[in-house]
Amino acid sequence: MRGRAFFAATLALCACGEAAPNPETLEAPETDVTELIGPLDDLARRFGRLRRRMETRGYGTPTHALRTFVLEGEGEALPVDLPTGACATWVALGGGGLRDLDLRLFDGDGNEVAADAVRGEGGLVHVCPAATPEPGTAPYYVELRAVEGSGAVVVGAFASAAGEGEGFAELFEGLLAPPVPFVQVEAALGEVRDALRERGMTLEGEPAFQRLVEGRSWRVPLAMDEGRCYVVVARGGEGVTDVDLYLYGARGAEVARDLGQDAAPRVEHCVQRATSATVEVQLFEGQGAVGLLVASGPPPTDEAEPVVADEAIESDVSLEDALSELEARGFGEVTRVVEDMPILPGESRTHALTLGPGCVVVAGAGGPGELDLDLYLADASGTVDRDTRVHRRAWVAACPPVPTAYRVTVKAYGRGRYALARAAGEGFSELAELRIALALEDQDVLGERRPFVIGPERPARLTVPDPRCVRAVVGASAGVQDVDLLLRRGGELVASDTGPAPWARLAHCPGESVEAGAVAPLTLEIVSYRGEGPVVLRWLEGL
Amino acid sequence: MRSVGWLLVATATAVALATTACGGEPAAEAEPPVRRAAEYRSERLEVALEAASEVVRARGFHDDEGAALRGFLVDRGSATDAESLRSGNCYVIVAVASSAVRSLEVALYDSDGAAVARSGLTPALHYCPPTSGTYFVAARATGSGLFALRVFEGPTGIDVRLDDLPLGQERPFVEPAP
Repeated sequence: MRGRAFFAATLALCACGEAAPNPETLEAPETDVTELIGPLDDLARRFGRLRRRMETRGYGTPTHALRTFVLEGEGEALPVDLPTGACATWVALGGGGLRDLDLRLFDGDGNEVAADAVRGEGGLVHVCPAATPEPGTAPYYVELRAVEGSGAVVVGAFASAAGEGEGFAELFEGLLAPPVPFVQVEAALGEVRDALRERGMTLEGEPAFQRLVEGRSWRVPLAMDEGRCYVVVARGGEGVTDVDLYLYGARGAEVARDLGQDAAPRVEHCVQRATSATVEVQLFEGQGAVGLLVASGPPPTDEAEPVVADEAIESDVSLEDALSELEARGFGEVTRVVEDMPILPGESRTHALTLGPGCVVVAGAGGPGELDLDLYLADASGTVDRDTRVHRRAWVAACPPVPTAYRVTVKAYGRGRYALARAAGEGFSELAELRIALALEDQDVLGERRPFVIGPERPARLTVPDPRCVRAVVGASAGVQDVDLLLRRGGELVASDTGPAPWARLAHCPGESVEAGAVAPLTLEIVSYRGEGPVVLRWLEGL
Repeated sequence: MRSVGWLLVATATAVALATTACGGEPAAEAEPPVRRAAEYRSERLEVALEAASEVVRARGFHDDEGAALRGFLVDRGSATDAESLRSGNCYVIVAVASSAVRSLEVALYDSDGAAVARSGLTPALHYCPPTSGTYFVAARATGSGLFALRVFEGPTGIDVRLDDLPLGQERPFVEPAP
């Protein structure tokens, strides 16, 4: 309020005195008015560059400046008294989440006399009130309106003589965020949505979109219902190369995350009781449009239902990314099993393989786009491994001591094509360690190894040795098809990984306040959601 | 009241500072009044408001002549003002707006915030409060521009007509979307 009053007051001052202010003799205020626009943040720096351009083009130093804030769909009107026979220019720059700012000028009778033609979060209006026989001022109203997004706005006024100045062409060049097409992100999320629907999941509201710059985060609250599983998916558009996704529980503890080096993160989390959570999307590298959608459904079922169909579908599937990832995780020779095969929604296709001796990973990739692929690995006794995560890539593994016949069943939740490959796990002697390798992230360094035997009614519990930062990964042997990690302080759950995989990974670093207080020790629980047998826990070091 | 509130403060501050800057002397009596943006006075609106006021006065209502709520409404924005209304009287509220305002709605709320009267096709309303107290007048615009609003007091028992007021609009107001 003070800023606006000042604005009106200082402009009113222009009308005082014996003579009307001659723009050619208008002096810059004694103090730098741009000091009034608040902290020297990114918005202020951009405005500083805009101000210098105005000065270079012959519009002088700003006579007035202020910072205000506008909510989406709302606006402010600033009353200003302009000297007649001179010209005035208002420039405005929006920050934060403000994507489209509208600047207009109305005369003293409320008629619109100038409208902003600057795209995005910039604005400019220029007016030269006609000279009057007697020097004086004319009342005007500058209107700021947030057409899209909300954020702070810095407005500056410049005075000049009629005909003075070089014009405003490309004045905002490089100062505004580039136009962000959300179309690409919308299309990518559309594919995700279709895949999730094929899987029987329900969207939680509409997809949401934001424009983010590198290092910025976007938080969205999420209500979670009892006994449901949630899939949170983000997609980055052009210019966005790495997006990370975090899911925080009701008390702020991290319960899931995806820090992969891509712009397509995804986290899954199942809850037994209704609770609230917060999704955080962080733009790790690049800048541009980011979209987010959340879907929920019942916990996944075990068996694939065979439906056989065949249809010509354009080929658009590549295993290369998945295979590169396997190589990076220490897997050896890669052999393609299925090059390119069509698959329909709900269809299952089975391939016979002989695996072993030794550990082997079978990787699958689906396409186009977000085709959600599940893999099931079965021997003569039945299913021995499955990967039912909502993802276009999947992998299953086994470590038979002798060559053994297996069936790999591929199930798709969408219409597309898929490819399969097998990779030798030469460096692995047991399945649990191999699964740990599949769960690792780039920065992870393996630490101490702890074996346990667990079952659904027999979880393993251990006190965390270093409560400052808990980072662990667990891999299950063949007998355990789904293992979860739960971190509790006293009886309270502070972090978990409850995904439907035979491995789990958890990282939790409580804040300073927690460390400082005398609080209950942290306990890590290793729980088998399905099956029983040995598991291996590895503490993680590194970052 | 949010937008108008600060506008009124801005007006007071601006006028005070302007006066001080001019040497602390009141404006010369002979000089024509200088229009200040922060006063939100448009000659066109004043004429329209006065014309409508004359009709309302002729129908038995009176006002504190010259007093009006004025301001600038941003598209889909609103302004409110508290009014002390007494039971045993009836009130007429009339508003006018500049040409860029596509529609203007006037509404009256009781002290609890319940809507008790709302304008129809023209931005004017008639209300006879059952109890004395503070009521809130609200003006809401589609389109941006200046507005001015005046409250009249009169006796009960008059079936006052408001749809023929000369509000000086270039085009008829349309009913705002619910």
